[in-house]
Amino acid sequence: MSLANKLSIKDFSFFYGSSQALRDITLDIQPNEIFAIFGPSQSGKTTFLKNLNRLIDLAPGVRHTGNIFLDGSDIYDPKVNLTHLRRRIGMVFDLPTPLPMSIFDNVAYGPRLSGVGKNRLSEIVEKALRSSVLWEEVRDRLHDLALRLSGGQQQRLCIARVLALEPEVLLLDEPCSGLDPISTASIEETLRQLKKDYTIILVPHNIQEASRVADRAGFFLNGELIEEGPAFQIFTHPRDKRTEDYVTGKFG
Amino acid sequence: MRARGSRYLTQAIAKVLIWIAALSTIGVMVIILFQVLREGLPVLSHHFFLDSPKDMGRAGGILPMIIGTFALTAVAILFAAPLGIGTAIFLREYTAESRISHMIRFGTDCLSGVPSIIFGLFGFVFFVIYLNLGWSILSGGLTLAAMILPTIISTAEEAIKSIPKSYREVSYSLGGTKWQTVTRAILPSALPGIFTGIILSVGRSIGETAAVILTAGSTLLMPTSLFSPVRTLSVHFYILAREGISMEMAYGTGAALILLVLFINTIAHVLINRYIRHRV
Amino acid sequence: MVIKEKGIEKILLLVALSSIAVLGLITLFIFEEGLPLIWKFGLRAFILGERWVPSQGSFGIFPMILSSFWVTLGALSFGIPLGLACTVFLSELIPSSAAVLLRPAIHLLAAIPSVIYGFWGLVVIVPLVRNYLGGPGLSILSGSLILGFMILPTIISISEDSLRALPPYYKQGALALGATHWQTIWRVLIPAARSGIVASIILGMGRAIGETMAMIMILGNAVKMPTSFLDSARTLTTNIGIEMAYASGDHRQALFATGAVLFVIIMILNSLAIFLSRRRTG
Repeated sequence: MSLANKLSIKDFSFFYGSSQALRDITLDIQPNEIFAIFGPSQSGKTTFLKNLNRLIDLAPGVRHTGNIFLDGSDIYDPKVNLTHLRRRIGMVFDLPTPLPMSIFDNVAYGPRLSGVGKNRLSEIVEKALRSSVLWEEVRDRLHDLALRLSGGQQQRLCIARVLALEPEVLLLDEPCSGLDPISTASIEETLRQLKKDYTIILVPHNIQEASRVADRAGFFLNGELIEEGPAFQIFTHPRDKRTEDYVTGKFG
Repeated sequence: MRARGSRYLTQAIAKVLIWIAALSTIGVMVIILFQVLREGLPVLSHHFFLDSPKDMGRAGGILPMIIGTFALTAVAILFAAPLGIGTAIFLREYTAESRISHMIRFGTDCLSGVPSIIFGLFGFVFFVIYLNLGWSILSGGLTLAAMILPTIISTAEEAIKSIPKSYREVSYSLGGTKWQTVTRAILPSALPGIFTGIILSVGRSIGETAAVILTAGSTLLMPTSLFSPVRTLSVHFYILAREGISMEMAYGTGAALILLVLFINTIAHVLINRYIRHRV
Repeated sequence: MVIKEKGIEKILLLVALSSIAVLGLITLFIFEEGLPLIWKFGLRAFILGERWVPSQGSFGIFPMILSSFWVTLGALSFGIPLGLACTVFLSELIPSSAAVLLRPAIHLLAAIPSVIYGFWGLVVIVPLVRNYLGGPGLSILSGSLILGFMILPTIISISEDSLRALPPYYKQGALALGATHWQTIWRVLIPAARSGIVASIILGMGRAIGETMAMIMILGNAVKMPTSFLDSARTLTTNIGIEMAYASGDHRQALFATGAVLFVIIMILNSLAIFLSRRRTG
């Protein structure tokens, strides 16, 4: 087990009740890289992401075998504090999900939960909104309802919301689905900036997006990790035939 | 050809009958309200609302009854709201479908079917006698609380259920605990719906007579504390009408009662509409 | 933090048990007060006894059971057809824009206190019955009429919900096969919404059996076996409501025993309604 790995997944299998959703996944994620997880729908990509921050615990009747290590510690260790874990690994969902409150309150939601003092909130909110490239557009209307923002802005708000907690890892599940090309481009650019400070695992909406943004990528099919490697290699000369079929559009 | 014709004839007859039935039903309802209000509105005056009753209720006003009604309702809400909302939170957020949740739902459903006279008997033997609270605002209010509990539980549950799942996911993924998620992400949005349920319960409490008469008594005196007996508007109305004490006063009290209930229910409906629009 | 969360969960569990607790307390105390008398007097004698003369220690509630039965039957005879008619009216015969206005009106009517209905019945219906049909006017017939009206909102709102919950292809399919609107309603929609309609009727029945104040005002409160719809009568509920004020000792216990019998009847009806509506929603 290399200590340099940010996340280390070993022989991880996951079950919803009796149906198996993930099979023996073994994967290492390096710090400060953008790792794309791609594949046809229902391949277990979202399930996989939700295991990384244990959001999957909310679903009834789930169980797993194998381990997931964050900086060398098992995240399923009973002593692990879930709240702390989820602050270290933040998640952005595929549909923008602003809470029904102001822009400011949305971004301040996480810090408030962890007891950050009132006087530090403004500073944290501004920093997060700058990092997600939303600050200039909303600085004058921080107390407007977040629901009034456009789709692309809402999604960047969701990113800011996560960044406000200063996590170490970002999980993004199809963050650009449903967004227009301009918003998509600005979010992709944001991700490239964020890479400097965060480790990013991304489920892209399509392969083009993955190839634009990712450093490394992994192909998921029916709950299995078929192959993984540098983005350039996996999209142009995949080793496995199934990966090649998917990448060239023979199925999807 | 003939068969076709008779189908349409049947339909025409059926529709006419239904129109007649529906319109007469609506008509009767309107007449009931209209009559009580027409006879009763002239009686409503400053004095009526601010004086105490004189001469066994033949003259004077209904101030103690108004105060009694509000006091009882306030006590009822004070007890039933936290219990009801807490139950709803527990059912929706802290358990999955399980034996406990089935039991609780069954108990709540059964409770909502218990007639008010039974609540009256229960309130009498439990609050008035066993707990020694006597005929009082407290006894009456607690009995009413038991009666409105099921309503608050079910409206609160509906309100919480309608909160999008994504709010919960977001809150948990940002490191929220269950209680934090409930209080910061769910309840604030569910509040309008919960509040509407509470207002509807208030409307129901105001019209409640059987349970109140057996637990809060029927004195004409102004209440002085939570332990004082009191007569509510509906009890006063009932006694005036049944004992034939004063038709005029009865109509007046009835009109006041109707106006109060209509007012409260209208507020509730306005809130429901605003709440629905807010959601969408 | 974890301890606080666990504590909150325990507290909420206790809170959630409150409705069961209240139900349990009601059952406990009503039966505790009423059963000793049934024991003393004899269950058969209590339920089938035809004499209710507390001063002589006679506690037969059969007249009251019969009266409750007849008043409820009468109320259902008025309430079911009218209720169904109004339901069909609301959901099928008027444009939905008008229905949107009428529905809250129905809820409003459901909120009118029963004593108002009783009062109006006393002042309008009772004299009408007395003048045109004979008898004291304070009668089972008058009671049935008013009670029928009182249960209408219950029947209408639940039945209407059932009708509206039907998938649209039921109606569209029937119409597409050439059925008239009425045929669709009568032969397809109503049968499909059957269990919801039945549940609403059972709930209405429960409401009717449990109604007290309005019935006290209208029924006349004669303690005898009812022989005609124009007779005055006392139901299980009005019996309790009238005499509780001045009853003591055995008499009071007998009233609690009446309450216990009423409670059992209502619980059976209620469980039936719950069972039916759970089956419907699965």
